[in-house]
Amino acid sequence: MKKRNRAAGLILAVVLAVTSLAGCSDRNGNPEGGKETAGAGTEGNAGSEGGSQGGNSEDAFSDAGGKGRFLETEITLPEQIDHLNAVRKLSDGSISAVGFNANSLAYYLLNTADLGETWETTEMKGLEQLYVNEVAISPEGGAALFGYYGEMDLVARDGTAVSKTLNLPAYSGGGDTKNQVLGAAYTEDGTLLILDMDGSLYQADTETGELKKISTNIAEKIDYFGIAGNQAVTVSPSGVALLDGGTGAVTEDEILKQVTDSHREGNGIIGLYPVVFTEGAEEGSIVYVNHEGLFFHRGGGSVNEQLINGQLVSLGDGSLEFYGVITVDESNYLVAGSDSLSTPRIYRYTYDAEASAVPEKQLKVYALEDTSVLQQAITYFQKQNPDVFVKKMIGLSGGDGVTAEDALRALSTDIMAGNGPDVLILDGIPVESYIEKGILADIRDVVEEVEGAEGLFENVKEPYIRDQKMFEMPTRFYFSAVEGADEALEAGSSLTSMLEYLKKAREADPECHGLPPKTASGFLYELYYAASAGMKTEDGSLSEEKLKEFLTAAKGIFELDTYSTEEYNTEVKNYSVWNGILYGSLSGTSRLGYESVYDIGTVTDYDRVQSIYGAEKQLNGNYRPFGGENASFVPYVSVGVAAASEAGELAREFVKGILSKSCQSAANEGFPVNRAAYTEKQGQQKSYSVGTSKPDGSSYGIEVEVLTEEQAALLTRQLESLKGPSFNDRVIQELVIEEGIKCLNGSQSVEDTVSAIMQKVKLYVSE
Amino acid sequence: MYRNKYTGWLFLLPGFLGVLVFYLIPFLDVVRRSFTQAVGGKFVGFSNYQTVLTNQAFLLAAGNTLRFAAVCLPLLILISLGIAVLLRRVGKAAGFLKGAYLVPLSIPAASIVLLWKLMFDKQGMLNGLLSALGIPGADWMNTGASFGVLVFSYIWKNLGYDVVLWLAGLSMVPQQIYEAARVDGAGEWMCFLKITLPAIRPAAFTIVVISFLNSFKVFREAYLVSGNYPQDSIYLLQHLFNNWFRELSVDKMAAGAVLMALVIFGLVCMLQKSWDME
Repeated sequence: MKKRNRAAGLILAVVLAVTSLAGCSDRNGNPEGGKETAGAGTEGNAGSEGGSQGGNSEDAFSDAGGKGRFLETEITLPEQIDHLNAVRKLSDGSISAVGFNANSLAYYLLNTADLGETWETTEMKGLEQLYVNEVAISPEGGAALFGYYGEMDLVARDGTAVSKTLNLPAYSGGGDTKNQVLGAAYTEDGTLLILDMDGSLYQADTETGELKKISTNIAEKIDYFGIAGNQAVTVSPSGVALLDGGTGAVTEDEILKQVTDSHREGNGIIGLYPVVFTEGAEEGSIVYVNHEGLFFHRGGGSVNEQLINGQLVSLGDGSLEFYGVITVDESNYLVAGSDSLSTPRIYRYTYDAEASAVPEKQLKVYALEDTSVLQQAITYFQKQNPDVFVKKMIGLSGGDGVTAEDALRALSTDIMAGNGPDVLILDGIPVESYIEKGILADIRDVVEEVEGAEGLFENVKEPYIRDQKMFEMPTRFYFSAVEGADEALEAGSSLTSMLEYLKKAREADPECHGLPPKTASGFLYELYYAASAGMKTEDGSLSEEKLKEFLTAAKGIFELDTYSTEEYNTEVKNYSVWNGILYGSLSGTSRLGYESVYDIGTVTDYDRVQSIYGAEKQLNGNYRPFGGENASFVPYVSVGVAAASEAGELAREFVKGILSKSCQSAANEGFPVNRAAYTEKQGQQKSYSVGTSKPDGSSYGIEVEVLTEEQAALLTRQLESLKGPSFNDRVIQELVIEEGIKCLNGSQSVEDTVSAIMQKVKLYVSE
Repeated sequence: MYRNKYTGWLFLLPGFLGVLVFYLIPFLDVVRRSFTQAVGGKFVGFSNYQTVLTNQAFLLAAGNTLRFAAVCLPLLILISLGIAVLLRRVGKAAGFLKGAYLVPLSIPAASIVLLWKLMFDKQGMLNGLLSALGIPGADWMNTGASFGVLVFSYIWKNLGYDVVLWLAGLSMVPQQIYEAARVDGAGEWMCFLKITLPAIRPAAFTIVVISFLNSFKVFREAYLVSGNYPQDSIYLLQHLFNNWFRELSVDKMAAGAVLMALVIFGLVCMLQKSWDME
């Protein structure tokens, strides 16, 4: 009896001991928070009934046995066209567009009867508008070009123009602001509809210029509109509505209403939209296009049917903005847009009944956060490999409360379960640990193949070679810099010497500003990038002495300015990246506005350098990479390949693609590591003016000019001399900034902050 | 006879299958992984154990976890037993008081965390109160005092539960024994020592084991208040496992988990043994 009790006791002990470990095993279920952004493969056929919507991409991929898909080709525009204003299908079935040449400042009427094989080009004559704000093409092939305040040129199909003026009502917003034309389009029966700044829609009489307001029951301002037959498809904060261009009667359609929920906001450029509409091949139907793809909606139907998956074609490129979409017939669609370089594009989508419904191969690309650079790379790869379905897996999709830690644990679960990605974007991922465990494959041969063909920045590549192997490679990079007068730059080679110089400057002029206003977290983020490489020790930890020096100087500089702003947002985030787009924080405008001694921040692209030179020309100052000879670079969108990938060759092709000149030239964020792409970017500089206002209300402007040969050569030398990557360990970076904020805000002394950071860093390193 | 022999086993079967599938088999996989590389499954013998046992973070976390259990368990067991004995004597108010002691158990972790932050922040309520009394405050969560905060939190939360368990054990002791002892001249203290304690010994085993296992759950509050890297004294094994999982250090995590299970198994066996000996 006693033996039996003992046995029962032992069993109980085992079960209790094991069940106590439940906390360690509760993450072995489904990955939490991960978001797979790729939608279904191309479903259904042209304008057909049924077809599943969106759905889980894994499911869609498993249905790869089906046939039928829209394939993309690009239509070549006449060579003199470097900008598009509008496209439309005419009543005779041909396609018409209005284009512009920036050198000759000439506008053209374009027409093609064979879907872009050949173009008939007619230059417009007698235009009075210097700045064309909006263009509408009539069903007969003429066009109406609008200036800002109602000036209108009516252009016949032969290119001759007649000038008129629209009688725009006064803007209700008050002040001296004049009303403007924000949108214009012809309905199929030739009625010209105008949208003004008040968000009201009007019918325009092109003879007299009189406007007749269309009464609708749409409560809010209309943001923009498209045309589908004789209906206006309006987009307002409450969603999409169908509005009769003649009577103003609104057709309620709950399904269509939800279309733009996540795509309503455009970039503010008139004539380019996040969603565009047209009439479908079937009467009463609507076709619309956004970055998710091309959708078909039957009037009163219960679904928006996805005909083209944006992820599989160029539509998925987040930088693409749309001019319009045209239904040629149920098997052919045209989409016109402008890419990241403002190059006009017209894509033709033709239904191929023999093509597999979804690509037969799959490549999984994981990133902790989505970026436009990654999306462009995926779009590029997708175009090069139409038989491959690229599934983008994003760890932090935003808005769902998932933290980076959660996302990384979910990724660990996927990898351990054998469902890991093929390609990893390593920003924010514990790369050292992954390399140590053999998660990443050697990609040196791929990187050096690109280097051999097109060249790479050697100083960016070299630090990533270890034991003759490469496990990661940044695709782009940027650097920290400091702006100031030459004397200030000479004196301020480190944060400590900057502080000393600022103290002297303050003694000489008690009113002077040390830096433009910054929040504690924003300031620390910028300084961390600048100084972190110098704080790293050989064992991957932080130097306590350097950290103390860093925080002492940072606190000193931060407290010098009386206007140092309170911390509105204590969230630790990369201030250079916003919504997946990388913006440099240094552009010259802040220092010019505040006339501060210094400004410090990140320089992310050519455009930023141009802008800094424009500002410093007025301030008699300059900029230089922070840290002088020991300046470091910040890697951006670093790529690696999973060693266990079943699509290893495709993954390596992806790496080759993302590093290639073609792909690197298309992105604007960060400096490309590809030398050929960098050289090409140099040739794409443009001059422009920037106007803004100072804190005292006075306005000022910057003439942003093309870099001189000397300036361009200096920038190249600066980029080539960057010594190595900044200390980008996410955990350490967050610990420094989280605790550093308390130090800068005065709630913790420098000593206590250093002690708290080092205690946590030691724990982290010892793990 | 046939029915009597197997009916009990049949009732146990679903529960046992659950434990088998969701705990025992996964644990066997953990044991297997503790002898292999994190990725690739290459056999590495005891090297993961060697790594873990020389890992400073593991030694600190294991030490803290054991220290926490060693301090908390006796305190909780003794305080809750004392309160249970007293509650037995207060008559009708016992029901209300029993409910009141259980309130902390019903408060969600997120609310407790908020309370912690309000109470124990450097500029929090506790320091405010101490300051009003002329006593210097402390940075409770960023110094060694955080260990005391963790102990207090654990006892505060689990006290009511243990009191209820003790009350159940105490209610099993027949009143006639006490009455007979008092007739023989035994005082309250003698009754407690000679009757109550031996009678509640079976219940004590269960209460000690449950309290021990509950002590691991305090990690949740510690994590929510101080994140992945709290003050050294409250850096527990679960913090380490959590961080290892993020870094994909499954090899170290598996070895650490097996060691932890062995320690718990050993402690429970020792407890069982000592109970049997008595």
